[in-house]
Amino acid sequence: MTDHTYLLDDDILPIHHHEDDRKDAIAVPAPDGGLTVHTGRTAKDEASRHASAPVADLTTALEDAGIAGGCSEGRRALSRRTALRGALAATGAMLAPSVLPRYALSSAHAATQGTVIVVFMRGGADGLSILAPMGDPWYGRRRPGVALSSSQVRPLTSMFGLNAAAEPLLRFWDRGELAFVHATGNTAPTRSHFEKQMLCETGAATASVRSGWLGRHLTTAGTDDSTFRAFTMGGASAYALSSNVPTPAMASLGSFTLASADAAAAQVTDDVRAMWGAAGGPAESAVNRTLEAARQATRMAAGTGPAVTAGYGTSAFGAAMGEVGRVLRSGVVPEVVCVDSYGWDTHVSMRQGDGRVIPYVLKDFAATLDAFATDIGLQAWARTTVVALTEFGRTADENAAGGTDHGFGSTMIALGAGVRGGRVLGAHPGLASSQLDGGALAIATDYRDPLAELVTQRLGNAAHLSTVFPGYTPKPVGLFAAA
Amino acid sequence: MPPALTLTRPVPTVPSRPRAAAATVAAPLSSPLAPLLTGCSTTPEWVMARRTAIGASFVVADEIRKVGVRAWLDAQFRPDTISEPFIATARAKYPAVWNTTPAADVTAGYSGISEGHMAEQLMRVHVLRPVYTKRHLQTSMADFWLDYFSLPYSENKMTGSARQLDALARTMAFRRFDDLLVAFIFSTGMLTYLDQYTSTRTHPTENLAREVMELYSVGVGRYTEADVKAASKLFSGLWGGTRPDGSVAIGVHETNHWFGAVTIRGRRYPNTAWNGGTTSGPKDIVRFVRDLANDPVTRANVCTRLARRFVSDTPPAPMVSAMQAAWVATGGSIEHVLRAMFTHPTWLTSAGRKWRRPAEVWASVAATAGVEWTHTRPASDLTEKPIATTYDAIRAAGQPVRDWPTPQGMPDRDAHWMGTASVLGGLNAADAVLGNTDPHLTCRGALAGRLGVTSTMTFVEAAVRILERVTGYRVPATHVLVDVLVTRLNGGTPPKSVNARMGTTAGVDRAVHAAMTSPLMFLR
Repeated sequence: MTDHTYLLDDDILPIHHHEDDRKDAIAVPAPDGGLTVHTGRTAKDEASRHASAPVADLTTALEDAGIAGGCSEGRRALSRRTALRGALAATGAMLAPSVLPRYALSSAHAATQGTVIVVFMRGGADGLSILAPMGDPWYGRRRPGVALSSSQVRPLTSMFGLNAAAEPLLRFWDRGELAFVHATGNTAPTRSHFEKQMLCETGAATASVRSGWLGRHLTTAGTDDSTFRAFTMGGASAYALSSNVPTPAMASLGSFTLASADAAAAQVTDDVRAMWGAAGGPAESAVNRTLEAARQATRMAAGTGPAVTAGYGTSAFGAAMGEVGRVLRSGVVPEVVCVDSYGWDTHVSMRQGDGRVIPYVLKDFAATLDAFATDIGLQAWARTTVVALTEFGRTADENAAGGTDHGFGSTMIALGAGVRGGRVLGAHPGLASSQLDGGALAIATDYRDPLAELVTQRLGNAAHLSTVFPGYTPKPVGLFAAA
Repeated sequence: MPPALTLTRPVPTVPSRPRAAAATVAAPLSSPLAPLLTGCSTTPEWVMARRTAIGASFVVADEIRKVGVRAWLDAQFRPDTISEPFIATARAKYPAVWNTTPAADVTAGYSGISEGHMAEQLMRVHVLRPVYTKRHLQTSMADFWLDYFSLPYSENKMTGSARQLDALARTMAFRRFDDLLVAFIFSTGMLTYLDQYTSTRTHPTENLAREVMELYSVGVGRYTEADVKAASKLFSGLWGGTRPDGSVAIGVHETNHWFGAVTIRGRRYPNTAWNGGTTSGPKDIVRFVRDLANDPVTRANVCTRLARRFVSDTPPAPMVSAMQAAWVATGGSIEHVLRAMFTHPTWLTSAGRKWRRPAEVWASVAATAGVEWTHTRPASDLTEKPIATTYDAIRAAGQPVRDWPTPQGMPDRDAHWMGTASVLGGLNAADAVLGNTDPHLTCRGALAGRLGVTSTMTFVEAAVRILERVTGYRVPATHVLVDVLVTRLNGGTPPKSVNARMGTTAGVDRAVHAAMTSPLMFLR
């Protein structure tokens, strides 16, 4: 297949339909494999040439995408109480992998270059409360009730301080493994969570292709078809991974098995394969992927201990990262893992009674990353890179409820292998009125700039950047060193 | 502060539109989700059962067959006329599970028990209700609206509203959409979830103002940031809310509301100045939400979403058009929009084109197996909750029922529910139910009698019968699915002759397990 076979005409989906035609946009794959973005009235013309339906609005794209959510309380694995009753209550053999997997457990790429974990902080994380611009006098003025005080930050640079709730991350900063990209984001004018999440996950100049940026990386980076080359730790696959390379999603490693308390357990998998093989189409593909993933998950679970909980946050994110830790401890080296973190939509009461600002979500987040790095061990950590991004930052001014509303620029966090750490990258646009964008921190660095470096330096796919981020020419940021 | 403006609208009474009853003919299965499953067919009763009941089973299909599709639907649209033993059963175990007032909690002996605790009770009971309900359509539509407005019960600030939202969804299930939208937008749950109570004149919050347009009505691209800011001013300083009957009574604070005319999406709302307690503010607020509800784009969005939920990711365009026509004719009556869908000619020809979610697979498996809710709460332990086994299995399969973490709700696209976690969760439902993994539930097995399978049947007859009773699809005797069941019926090895009499029903439960893990079980 070519790099672009998934960009079929069917994939063409205009994302914006404004009352003002000038704001319409559509991306169309070109015969040479590139992607052409049409804007304004020509967008409608292109749409009508490539699709039978007229230009639609982004709602369809959002619904098509089903922005990944699926949070899970991961560790609550099923425990079997009884064997099947009646005719099923014979000796209870459990399903066990009896044959070798068809595919290697590890990605060939990852075995040499390591693992990239992409964390999506859903809800619009307030970068100004993670990495506070203490050197900007407008920071305190704009947020008299929720600005961090000097005693509530750990100074990183002359301008920025890290929220003390994220203190566990300091050890990575001190070791040069942690960097921030300040005032970054997607520059589309919308402040919709779901539109922005969609845009960030597609990674396209517009969200007009039905695939994600990581999915296009997988498609173009080689023919490795190992089942756990990339996966989502959660109930549903991250949209960023969507492409014609199927990737599994699982809520936890230990529970990801085809259950059978029946004596005829050995038959169950074969029977399911036989029945679903007769279905064909998406149903057959879905069950084949599932059975393969379950078989390999069973092997991985057998090859590692139970999930470590010590130190991890108690959120679903903490549980999910604990499960990712299990996978890595089993010796598997996936290329890409996606995990969601929730709780960042802080419209109200950012300051707690004891004076701390967004302490719960941030503390949980930082403690989880800290515990994860310890959990997987030095060898695995030395080849693991974590990048956390969000759909947008928040307004510079606090609102009446002691919170902040949807804005633009936020902070991207990069941690681990290959990170040129101990630095805050990206310009600070400033928080004076004339420097704000619609009342919010402006975006100085397009979010695709650091992600493009991730693809180039950590995922080794510089050759296909134009496909991974179509219609965009990334600018160097200096966030990652070559692998 | 002036008295609240009370806005109570009568329940719309629109004459039932006579339509020809669905003919009781076999409908062939032709699903792009499973294109090789040819030669299979289903019936109008099963199509109705699978689509309108979350816990669809042969019990529901038989019930429909007994009274006829039209009569069954008529009754379903009048849920209060259908006895619902599950309510008493659930209340006997968890007395406050559907209480909506503190006084009712006191009566139930639940005073002082946290709202969070009761919200969790409710969520776990929620996955059981479809198995036992007789009000299938109301249960499905309540689920639909709770997904549509997606208010996660377990979030700290939401726990106090969970039971009221549950009741509101059932009350409003079939009402006019403008009434329904107004009722949900001004519900305590929504006003809390989207932070509206904290909005003031000087700092109007934008959360509800944005989402009422983006998520609940016209959608992205149909409003501007200026519209969001204007709507946030109009909503500021709001008090009051929705009553249990779905009517709303709201007012605005003299000091916290932003007074003055605003223009939103080209319409002007006077929002007149405070004048001795008089202002048009509350009326304008409700009018703004009704304007959104009655926008043609909203109509198209909601009709498409309903058809997508009940029929297919890509519902037939004529069906959606008919639903929109019913909307126009009835002022947005959801009952009549649904009737237009259920009676459209493409309703039957599109059978099996929607993928079941994990909770739907589980409920159908449990209902088919006749699972009993056997656990009895110790009388002295008012704080006991239904055990989490079943709820968490469905959550791990990607469906955190009533607890989706973001406001846009669960994706209603097959591709989402065909992911590995969801498919595995669905496949494991049969093992969980028949294997009694949930200590609070009991499957007694010995399903032959329940499904009408006898030892005098041939292996093939029994296999075809089981597939039909479990999935609602009739399968040709030579089909691979039949082969699998025949082998299970014979204890794990193929019989010498598939046309021989079985002589025993010992293998029936194992064959039922196979039917429950077949692809037919996933095709609504």
